[in-house]
Amino acid sequence: MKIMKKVLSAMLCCAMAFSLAACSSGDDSAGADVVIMSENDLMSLDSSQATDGTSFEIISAFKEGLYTYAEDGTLTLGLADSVEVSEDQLTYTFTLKDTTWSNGTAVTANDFVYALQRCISVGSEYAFLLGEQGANIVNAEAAIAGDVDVSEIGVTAVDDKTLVFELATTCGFFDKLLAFPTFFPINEEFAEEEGDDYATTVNDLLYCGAFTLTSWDVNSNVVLTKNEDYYDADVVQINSLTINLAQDQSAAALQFDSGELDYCIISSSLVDTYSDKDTYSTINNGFLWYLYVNFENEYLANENIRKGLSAAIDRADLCENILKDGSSPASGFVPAELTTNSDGQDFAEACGDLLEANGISYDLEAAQAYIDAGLEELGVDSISLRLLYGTDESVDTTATYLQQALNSLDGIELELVSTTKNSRINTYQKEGDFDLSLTRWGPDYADSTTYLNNLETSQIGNNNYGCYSSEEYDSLMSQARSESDAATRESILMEANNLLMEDVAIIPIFEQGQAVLTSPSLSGLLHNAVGTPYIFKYVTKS
Amino acid sequence: MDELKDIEFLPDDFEFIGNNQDIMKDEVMPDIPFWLDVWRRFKKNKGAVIGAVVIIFIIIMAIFMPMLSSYKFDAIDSSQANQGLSATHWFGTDNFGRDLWVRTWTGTRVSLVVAFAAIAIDVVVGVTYGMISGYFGGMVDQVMQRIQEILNSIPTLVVLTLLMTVLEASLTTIIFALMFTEWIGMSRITRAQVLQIKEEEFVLASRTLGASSFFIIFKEILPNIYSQLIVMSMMSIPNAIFYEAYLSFVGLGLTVPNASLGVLINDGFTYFLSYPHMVAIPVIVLGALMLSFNLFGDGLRDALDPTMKEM
Amino acid sequence: MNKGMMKYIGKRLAISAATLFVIILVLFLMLKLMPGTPFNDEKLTEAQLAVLMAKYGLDKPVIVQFWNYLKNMLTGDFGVSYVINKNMNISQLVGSAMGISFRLGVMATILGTVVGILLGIVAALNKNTWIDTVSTIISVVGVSIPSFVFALLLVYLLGAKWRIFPTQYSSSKPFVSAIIPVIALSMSVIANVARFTRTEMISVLGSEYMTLAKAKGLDQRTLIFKHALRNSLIPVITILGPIMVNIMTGTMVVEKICGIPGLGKLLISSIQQNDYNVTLACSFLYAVMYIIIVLVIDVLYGIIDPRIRLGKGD
Repeated sequence: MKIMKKVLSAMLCCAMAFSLAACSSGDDSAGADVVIMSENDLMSLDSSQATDGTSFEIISAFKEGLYTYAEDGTLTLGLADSVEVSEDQLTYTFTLKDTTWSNGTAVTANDFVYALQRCISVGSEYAFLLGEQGANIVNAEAAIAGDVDVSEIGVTAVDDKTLVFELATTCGFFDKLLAFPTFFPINEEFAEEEGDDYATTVNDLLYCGAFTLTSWDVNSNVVLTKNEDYYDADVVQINSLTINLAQDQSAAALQFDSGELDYCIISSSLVDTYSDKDTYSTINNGFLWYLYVNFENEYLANENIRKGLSAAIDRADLCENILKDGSSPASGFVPAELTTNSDGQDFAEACGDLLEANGISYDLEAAQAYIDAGLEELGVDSISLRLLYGTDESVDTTATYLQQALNSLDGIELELVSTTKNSRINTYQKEGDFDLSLTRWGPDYADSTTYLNNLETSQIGNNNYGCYSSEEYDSLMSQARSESDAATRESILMEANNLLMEDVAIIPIFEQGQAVLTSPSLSGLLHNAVGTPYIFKYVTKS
Repeated sequence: MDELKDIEFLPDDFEFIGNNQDIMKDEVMPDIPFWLDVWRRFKKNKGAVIGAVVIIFIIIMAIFMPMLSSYKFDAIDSSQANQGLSATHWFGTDNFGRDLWVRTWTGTRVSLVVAFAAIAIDVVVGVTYGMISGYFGGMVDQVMQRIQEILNSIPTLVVLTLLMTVLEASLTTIIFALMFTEWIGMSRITRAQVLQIKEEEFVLASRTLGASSFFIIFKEILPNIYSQLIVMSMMSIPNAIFYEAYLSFVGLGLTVPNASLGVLINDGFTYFLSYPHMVAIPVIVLGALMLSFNLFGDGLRDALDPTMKEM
Repeated sequence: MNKGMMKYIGKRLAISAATLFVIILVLFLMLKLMPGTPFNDEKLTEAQLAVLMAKYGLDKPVIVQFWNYLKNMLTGDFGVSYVINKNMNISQLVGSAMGISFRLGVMATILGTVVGILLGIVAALNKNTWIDTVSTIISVVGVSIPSFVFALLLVYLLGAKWRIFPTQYSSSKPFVSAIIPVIALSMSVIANVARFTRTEMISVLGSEYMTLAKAKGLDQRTLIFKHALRNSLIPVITILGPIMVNIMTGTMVVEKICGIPGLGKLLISSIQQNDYNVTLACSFLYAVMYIIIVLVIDVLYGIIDPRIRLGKGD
């Protein structure tokens, strides 16, 4: 999923100014009870095994890392009191604050070491954040591959309060990683005692964050209550926070209307009803939706066919009239708000509209011309293609729209193949059994390579499901890897991004947005497009 | 008793009717063919007639409306999205601007096809199974009954749900999945009837005359259970329609852009706060269909077998 | 209870046990046929996948997995969830879901039976009046129209339009938020019970012993409540089986509409997410409940009316 960079778009809650909220909160010392909804279920409370946004945001509420988020969404030291970074930026030495777990034992450096070793040893999906694709901690990659023991990784507890990280290469976003749940501490003694039961109920956990988890009604809701022992407890304004899990969006909207909910996500079906109210806003949730094009398919190997397919899709129409949830048309393989270049400009913005630059933005006539040319080169009258998508991914609307759009081209017959997300990836994509596949990618960290790396030739058999292979692209990517100057590196990556569109290696569709309703009395809810989706610590309610 | 004493009998109080008493005369009913008799009884049942009319109406609409309309069921026109009922779009449009009038009738057609196909296959499988099991009896019957009992012990919806996940979602798969579960009722009825009828004297007579098992099953027994099977199938159709709707509703049935009543209900459900007509129309059609088939089935049962009629 | 009865029950229990075994086997094999693995993150490397498969014993041959599963199951251990709530014990996960489904089902059955009986009696006593007609219409509509249609209607009217009851189930308000689903589920029960009670009642009222009782000069009240009602209600037990099965089916859809975290919802999400163990446990529980209901009703029926049992040719 996501780590972060484009820090947090602080959710300024519409009507009420902060001062107003501050005035009215003075009178009751107990603090308010806030109820919000999550469209997904809570899948895991184990910080080293969680993989989904809902779990991350809840874990971030009851635990904390070495770094944490400040009220304005920037990063600040959390459980760490101070940090020293070596000159080569490869060694980080942290000194911890005096904080305790909810059972009274102190949070020690060993808790962090144990958590990271455990992450690798239990085969967590997010272990890669320790390896080359993430922080690149010494020996972590080898430990993940099983070549060395997990105790060999470059994280050591010098004493109870001193923690040292050794990195193999510099990592520009290491602080953001440390604010991510995978890097949160786990008390070794407690976790070992609990064994398989660790983190399966609210009693099988220790807390050290702004809240403690007081109840978890599986598939229904979780209740977070203010942690009075938290070192920064003064900042926490609310008494409790209830998160309704896996809630239906229509139902949530009804509850919101009746005042039972303070914040909820609504589906595009409800946008028309709420879009002119001042509780309505949209947020960027960081995902890019695009089509994998299977280059093993003889027809799709033809560049004109691919160009025609891309030019036949009216992305603006899809976003404005069908999705209506704040999604925006994608114009390259790197979405907006992911990362900022060294000159302060957004990476995607700096790239510009790459579809238009390469003549593959929406233009039905041009699309037909490409297809006609392609069909002639192939010597066939018409081709039939399959579009694969997952029915549990809420993209039925997009799939339907794409089918209609591509079928409007003469000589193209598109059939939809629907399956679950699981089998889309594991059965169809892994076996190469698809022509076009509607898929999404969420950033793992705030750098364009979180996207661009996927289409290297070496990733075939991994995430490069379409088997796109270009020597030019590979050489650009390896150039970027060895480039030490940030600006030069960025321009190489921008060139690589452009090359993908020139070759139509994938067909970008849209950058996912989300329509939300926020109660006027609620403020201070931080939202991240990359990283932990929501931070609850600073929520206030008047 | 006191009043009686006061009555005086007069001579013309009584009339002589002579010897022409014909109370013993037999009245010969005109010979009415079976089906005409059924039709007469059926006509008397108002509910059943209404049911039949609604079914025929819906079938006609489902067949012809998609052909006659100028819209296609999967034609997207986002400029027309989310419209209410109007002269141009009689049932409004959905979130893609697809015409719901056409989609509703196309969906009804699909649901009906699924139901009829599933029931047809059910009858064939169920009757064959029941016949073999009932007719041969003994070991064959024991084994076949145990198999059936086990299949019957898994709730239909669980079987359907699991089948749909293992198989790929399509029209044929749904029909297959429905067939897989619905034949059991048919085979039970058939078996019970066969057990009863095979002891009858006309079967014995036939067997004595040297008729083969095959002949007895199909020529002697089958005609005697026709009416029960027809009633049973009519009663199963609403079930099949419901199961199809259920599968599509939970997202395991047909896929976009296809339409069935279940798909329409599922699509409409997400919009039901903003645009209630999107879910209301397919739900009404579904309800009307199920209700009508039930009424029709009830009426047919009473007409075919007056002795089974409820009070 | 006589010896024949015991033998009958014993035989039924044996068949049920065998059936359950076959069901587990079939379910197990079916789930192995499902595409993919439970670990479906696109970022998972092959090496990590292997670690996970080994951790949960999914790398062993199917027969060994089945044997282990069966062994654990007999001790009440259904394994852990792989996806939905990672590493959570299935008994815990399924237990809470089943509790909710079960409670709703029972509430709907009770509500439906009581209302249905009342409706049936009133209709029978006012045979061929408008009351009877209304009751018949309610019965026909209730029997024919699936419960999820009622649920949609109630959610729209009572929940969204008039805002009387919450549309979605919430564990903090377990009673108020259950009203809509319970009413929706009870519709078919009301219909079936009313229809049946009416028929039974009319036949009892027309029977000779009622005429005799009437001739003895019993008053209307004693006549109806003491004689007619008791005799017409016993057979209602026999239709409770199909009714409860019906409700089980109904809950699976109503749970989706009303957002109830019950067994049906869990089953469907487990299927969509390939969470084998949860799917298996949910389906198994459904089968167990189904078998128990059918068994209990059959036995009750056998006690009430021994002819039925003999008639089955067992």
